[in-house]
Amino acid sequence: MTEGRALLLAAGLHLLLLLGLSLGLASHLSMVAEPDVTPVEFVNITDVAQVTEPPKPSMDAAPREAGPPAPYESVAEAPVLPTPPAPDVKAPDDTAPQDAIAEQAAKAPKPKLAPPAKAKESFDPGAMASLIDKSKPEAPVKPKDTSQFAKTIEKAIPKNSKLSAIQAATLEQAIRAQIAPCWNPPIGGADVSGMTAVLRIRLNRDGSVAGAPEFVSQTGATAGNQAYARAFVETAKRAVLRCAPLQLPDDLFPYWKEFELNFDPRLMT
Amino acid sequence: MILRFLALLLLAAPAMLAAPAAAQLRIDITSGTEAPMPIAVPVFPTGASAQTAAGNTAELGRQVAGIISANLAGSGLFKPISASAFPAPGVGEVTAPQFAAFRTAAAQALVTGFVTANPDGTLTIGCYLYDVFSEEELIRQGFTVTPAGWRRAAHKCSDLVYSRLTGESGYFDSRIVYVAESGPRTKRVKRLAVMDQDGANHRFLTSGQSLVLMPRFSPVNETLSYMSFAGDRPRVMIYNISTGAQQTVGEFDSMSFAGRFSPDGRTLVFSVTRAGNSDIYAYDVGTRATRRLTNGNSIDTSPSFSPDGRKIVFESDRGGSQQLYVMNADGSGAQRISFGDGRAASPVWSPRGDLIAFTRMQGGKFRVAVIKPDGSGERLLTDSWQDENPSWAPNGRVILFSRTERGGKSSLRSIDLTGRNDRRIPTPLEASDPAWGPLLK
Repeated sequence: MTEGRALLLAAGLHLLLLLGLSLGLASHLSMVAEPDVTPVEFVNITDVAQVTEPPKPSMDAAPREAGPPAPYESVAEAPVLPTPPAPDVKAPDDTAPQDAIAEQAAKAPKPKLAPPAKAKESFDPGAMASLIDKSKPEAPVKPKDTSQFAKTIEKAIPKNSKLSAIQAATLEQAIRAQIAPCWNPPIGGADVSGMTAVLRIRLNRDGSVAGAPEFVSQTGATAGNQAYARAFVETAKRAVLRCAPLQLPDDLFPYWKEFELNFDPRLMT
Repeated sequence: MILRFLALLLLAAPAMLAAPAAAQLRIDITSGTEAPMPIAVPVFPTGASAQTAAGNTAELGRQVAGIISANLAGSGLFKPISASAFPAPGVGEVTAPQFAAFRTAAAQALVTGFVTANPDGTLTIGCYLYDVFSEEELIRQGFTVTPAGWRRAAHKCSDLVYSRLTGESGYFDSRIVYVAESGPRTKRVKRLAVMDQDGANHRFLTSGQSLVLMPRFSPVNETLSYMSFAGDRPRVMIYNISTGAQQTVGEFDSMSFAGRFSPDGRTLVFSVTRAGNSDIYAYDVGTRATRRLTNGNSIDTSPSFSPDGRKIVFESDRGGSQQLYVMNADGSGAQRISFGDGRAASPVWSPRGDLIAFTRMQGGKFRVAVIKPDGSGERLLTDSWQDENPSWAPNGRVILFSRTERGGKSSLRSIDLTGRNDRRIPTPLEASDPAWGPLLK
């Protein structure tokens, strides 16, 4: 076999593999389109009949509201709002503490980050580094300080390889522990068993969400439960935004700057 | 040349695969919190305060927000945040809310809107729902009402918010009919009464001179069926709330009772008793023709249609004790669905179709329970001494029922089908035998 033929064969096999993966992926990623926002609609509510006293035993007692109910009138646009009052300008020192409160409020319900302690068991120098970083909040986080461990990993393991099992578990646990308390899934709906939603999350180095959480896929959505399916995805997106910024080991940033969350309330009633 | 092309393709292949591989971390979130969703419902501002037949628009804005808050809180799925936690928005902020202030107050969603008086004497109530975190407008709608109907606009807004956030239809713009009870046990006065689902606009429909029982709303219009003891024999009547017109159901020489409408409102199913035996009949409201659906020596009663109108659930003692059966709408193919300890009574099919609510009688207690139409998945929802006569909210999510205490006092209550949120429905007198009407048009 010549070198050329071998290369040709290898190329062919790779193409087959690529095709197979793409097809598998395509079926896996079959998305459910998010329904559009309902257009504005104005509705005239006609009065319901009100009986103020016991009705007379007459068969021809007339309804209280004379005439047939007025037909619905749909107005395409919202009514013109009265001129808004002059903008309420807030003093800067008024808003500053508010932001501070907002930040505190956002941070307050956060569970304590478990990973550093957990990682310590397996003597994780990266986690130690991040602990040291936290003890000195005034020191700016320098990527080169904390990436030492990541670099070591990169050297130790072949390129394109995934996180070690323990690192993946640590990260997963840290993310799950911070997202789950913020998730308010709608429960008790009809025909909703097996509903799940996958979102792709992109984070900045400070743990804040970079852009809106991206809808990836959903299971359990049917023609009959679209409104529920949409509400379900929104609760998932809200959970991520509510919990941000996430607190995750800085040295593993390359591994958590983008990840997917599969929201699946099967363990709830 | 070909080789070079293939080599390039080979080099490109890993790059093409790299995109999905980058999202290598995929984490399952398998639980969340079941706490009610915090929601902000600030006072609805009014552009220019104006006097209307229903009061000042500024005051109406406060009351509309109050009704929406009470409705959402009553569902058990939302927790309205105290208005003192954020500044009251002006009219200009209805379409451009200060989201940061509501995030500070820990709200996840914001319901806002406005109240304006129109030159023709009507009111326009705008209703806007926002996601506080994504800062997106989720839905908006305006309602034009007569001053007398302003509460309905608040209920419509509540339904809009509820359905957009839960994905289920709402139930707030609806009414309840029930039996109001007063007087001593030996000389009890029972009157039909109707009210909004939140207890407002309460009205008595009958004078109390004769006994009434088992009122049921038609799912499609302003019609009730009930059992009247007026005259010399108890029988099922149809009563139009709008016109006051009454219609006797069928001509029977014995007692008829337990009427309930079909989903399209055209048929009424009920029971007729003769010499200790009771059978189920169907009555065509239009043609007034009756049709017998069950036969035999057993007591067959309390029929209730499935929402598609093809099946009927009822109770029967044909198997030796009072249990639930499902049959076809023509009376064929009856199958027992309830088993286990005790007896089962007063079944009613959910408007959603997935469950049947009923009264489970065991161990000296009456409790409200649900069961799937195939007989599986029975769950007890309440645990009191005497809870009975369940009736579904129009969205099939909440169940209304009556509770009698050991002392004999009776009241109306509601419970979520998850078994949570057991709440009292306020009534001016003691109350029993409730039935939830459809969403108003």
